[in-house]
Amino acid sequence: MMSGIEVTADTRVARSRAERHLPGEEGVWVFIMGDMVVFALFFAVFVWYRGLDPVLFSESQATLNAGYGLFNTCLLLTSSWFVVLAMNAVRRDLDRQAALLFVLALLCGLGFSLIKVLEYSEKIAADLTPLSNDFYMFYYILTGLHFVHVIIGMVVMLFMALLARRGVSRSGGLSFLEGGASYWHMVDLLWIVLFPLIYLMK
Amino acid sequence: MRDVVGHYTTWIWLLLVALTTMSWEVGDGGASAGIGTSLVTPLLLLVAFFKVRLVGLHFMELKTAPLPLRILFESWVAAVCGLLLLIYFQVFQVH
Repeated sequence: MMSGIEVTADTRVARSRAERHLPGEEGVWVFIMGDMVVFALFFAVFVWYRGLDPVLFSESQATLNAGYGLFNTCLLLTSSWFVVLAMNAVRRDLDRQAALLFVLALLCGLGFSLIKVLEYSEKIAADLTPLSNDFYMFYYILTGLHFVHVIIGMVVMLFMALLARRGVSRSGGLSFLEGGASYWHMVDLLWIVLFPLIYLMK
Repeated sequence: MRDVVGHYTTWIWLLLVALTTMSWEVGDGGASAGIGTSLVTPLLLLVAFFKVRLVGLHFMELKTAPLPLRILFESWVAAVCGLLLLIYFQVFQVH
């Protein structure tokens, strides 16, 4: 009797472990969590400095166009959603659909980049540079660091589109695609916090 | 294609876009008038980290990832959101 119950319990544990799945290689997740910790520190330092000079930060924030921030957030959310759909397609062996969806994700990233460049050039033309004040120093460092992640992500999306088109997911490439997808979602996730911190908070 | 788009994550995406637009209304538009300025930032932060959790669990597939990783992610969300709120309310600053 006892051993019978134990076997059943062990089987249940084994099954629930097997059903849990790490999307991507372990190394990718070490990088992702590390990056998230670094950005968390930047968020905290930003809010701290804001508390030291709330008037300056509010006045500088008012010179930003929050519409750009809103539009760019929606672009990254949509891009992330395309990647989710692409991974669904990959797992159903719909190679061409997956490739198309990765290209759509890449195009959203490109739209984000164009708006970012437009925004930076408007600010620089208005003589608002990293040297203007503490708010603008943080603005350029935080959004700039994030922008580097977006650019890397767009290159990754291009590779993923090419791999999906060749049907690489069936020959062991699935883990690479999952890792790339997880990275791109992290880029979206970090921007979700940056948008209210930089453009909206009072 | 219908199979691929007709996934529950499409609803998550719509919810994320709706929450983003509402945050923008509250933070940048006139919608904050009825809320009171002191509550705007805590509200924006809570909504943002709720969105972060949605992206993590449903887009990054952490809902079905090995438990230690999911716990690590959930801890990050709770810790960072809590830390930012504490700093915002100047809990650490000596007056």
